[in-house]
Amino acid sequence: MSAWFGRVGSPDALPETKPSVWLVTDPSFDEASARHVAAGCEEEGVPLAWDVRSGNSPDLARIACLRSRLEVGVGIDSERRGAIALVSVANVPYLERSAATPGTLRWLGQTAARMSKGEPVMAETH
Amino acid sequence: MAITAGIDIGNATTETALARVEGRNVTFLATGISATTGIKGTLQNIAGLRSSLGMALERAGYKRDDFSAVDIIRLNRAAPVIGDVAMETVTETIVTESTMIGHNPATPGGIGVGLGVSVAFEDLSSAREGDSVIPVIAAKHDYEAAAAGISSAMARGVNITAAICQSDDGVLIVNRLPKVIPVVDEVGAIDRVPLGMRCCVEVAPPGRVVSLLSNPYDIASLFELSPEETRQIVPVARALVGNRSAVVIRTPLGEVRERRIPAGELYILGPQGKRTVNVEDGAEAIQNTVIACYPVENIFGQPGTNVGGMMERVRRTMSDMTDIPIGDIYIQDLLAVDTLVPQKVTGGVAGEFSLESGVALAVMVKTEELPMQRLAVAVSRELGVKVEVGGIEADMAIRGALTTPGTKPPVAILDLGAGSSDASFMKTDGAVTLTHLAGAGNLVNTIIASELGIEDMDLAEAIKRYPLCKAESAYHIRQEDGTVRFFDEPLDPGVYGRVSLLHENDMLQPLMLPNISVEKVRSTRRKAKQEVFVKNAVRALEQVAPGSNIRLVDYVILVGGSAKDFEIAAMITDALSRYGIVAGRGNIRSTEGPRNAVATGLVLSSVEGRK
Repeated sequence: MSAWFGRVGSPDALPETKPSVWLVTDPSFDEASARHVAAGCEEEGVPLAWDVRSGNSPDLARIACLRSRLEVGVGIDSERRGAIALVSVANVPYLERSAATPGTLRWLGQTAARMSKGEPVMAETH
Repeated sequence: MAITAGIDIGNATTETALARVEGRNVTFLATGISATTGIKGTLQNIAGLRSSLGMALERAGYKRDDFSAVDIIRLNRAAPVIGDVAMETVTETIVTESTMIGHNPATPGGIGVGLGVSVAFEDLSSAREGDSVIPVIAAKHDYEAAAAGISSAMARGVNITAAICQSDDGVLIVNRLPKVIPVVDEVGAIDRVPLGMRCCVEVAPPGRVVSLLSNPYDIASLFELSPEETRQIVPVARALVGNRSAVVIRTPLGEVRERRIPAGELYILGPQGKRTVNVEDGAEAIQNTVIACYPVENIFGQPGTNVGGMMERVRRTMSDMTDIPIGDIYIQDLLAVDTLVPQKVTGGVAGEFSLESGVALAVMVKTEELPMQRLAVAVSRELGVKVEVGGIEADMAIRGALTTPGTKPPVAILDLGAGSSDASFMKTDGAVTLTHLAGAGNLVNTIIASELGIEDMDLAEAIKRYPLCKAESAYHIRQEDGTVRFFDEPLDPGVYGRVSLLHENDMLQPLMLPNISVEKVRSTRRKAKQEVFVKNAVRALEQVAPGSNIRLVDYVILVGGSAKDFEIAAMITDALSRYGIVAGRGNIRSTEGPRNAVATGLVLSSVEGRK
């Protein structure tokens, strides 16, 4: 399992060199919620690295994508607003959604993973 | 000096050519184009005519509604043909007592083939050591619970060979198991999967398709089937071809049948009497019968069948329009094209589709004459302008087409429209032969819609009209010819990674169709155009060419809305070059491209005979 999801600095952190999507969240964001995002990525076959910082979701997503070797990052702030950023799209998040429910969290993970693969966004059924 | 407006009311568009006529000198001022309102030849056309003429007036520097500037309007004596199209499915796959699940979830889990007995996930705890079982997992169990349950059963020595689950959790479950098993997920109607039955699950590696469950003999080996039972399983194997994952379940009473739908018979009347052909026999048989009956006098469909209904609908439309009794309406041409139609498998559990065969039909009805005179009177009253009905449409089309640089009689014109494909041939002495054939742009739309499973005809029209591309990043697309284009602004997330249509002005329209690729849509689109336009071009030229010998035609000018298409003209040019024919898209008056031929011809014909 550690191959698919790990928090930076913890024993099960992903190796720095592993191609993965990054999630950067507000410190108030719990691991169970992060695992929903990770599940969305894992089902698409893409690992997720998780770190915490303070800031609004577009800024967190930008930090996340710049650290991701796949150049895709997800940011979630203390208000549970979610954003996906791509390194290529400077300064603005590529996509913004609420990140309030397990369904939306998983969708954000799945969408970020699919974007890293160049695949289209799935319909939002949550 | 007089301002003359030639107006061509076609099946799809109304085109205007506005010109100043002084003696025999004609100076073209402007053109207009607008969608035809109503069926051509009816009073409803006036709205479209106003807007087309208004556009031309505006472009010529007049006010849009300054109809008094026009001295005379010349209308075409419209070719009295209308076309209709229909799709008939001739096979249907029916699953009784769900015996197969063959669908393409985006991300099935694991790899391999598993054979065992289907059990509900809740009952896994009662499975005994050594049993080969396949748990069926409803969405209420999350992936952690499902993986834990399967792992503990495996630890007890139960041989869990595969799994079927309802949520999109296949990969998540497999990643949490001590050994890799194939898992088919996203099975919508999980409650209809029969339990306690022998069952086989296959998941192919990424990029591959199932090889065992799409082969009838492998299914026979897995389930120990008799030769007779193997015969019955063929539709199952066929429906699973091309899937990455599949499940086949053997139930005692279950069967999958391929049923042939009685699509009906066509009765084609020709000079040698009546011939009968079954729609089920496919396009080639139908077309051969049409040729055998040439010139076709009338076509009927078997009463009480789909095709019978279609033929009656065409007759009624035509009759309502022209006030001619239904019995006097003659269907004089028919074009059939074989298609493959993705149809939902009746009784399937995961929304499976099976490719069924179908036949798309276009028919053409000819009457004595459309009531253009009545329309002319109405237009004259409405606009306060003198209106006359000019020559025959095909004559006018040739006159207009000959304004294309580099052309002279003898020449053939192919007028490719929406409802029909018309051909005419002008000899050196000016004598003209002409023909109207069923099948044009609308039939292409019908074929595209049925093969791609689209219900929205506007979408089918857009697919016909625009080339494809795929957004490969937020800033670039790859077009269907492989070239890459960059954009200054990031593309909408809705088109990211998706097959899209590239409209004018670089607007992208994403195609929200499941499991499609650029190649699939492109080949469907091109095949439909080939089957309709190239086939009709050859058919039409055979009918108008001297001695029915297509090789005696030297020049062919393509005109009409469909000639504007980005690839149809090239396809026809290519196909006709084999007969040594110079064929190409017309360029009316060196400026209009293939449009406006009839409208231009109407203006030009008004000065003939003048000194």
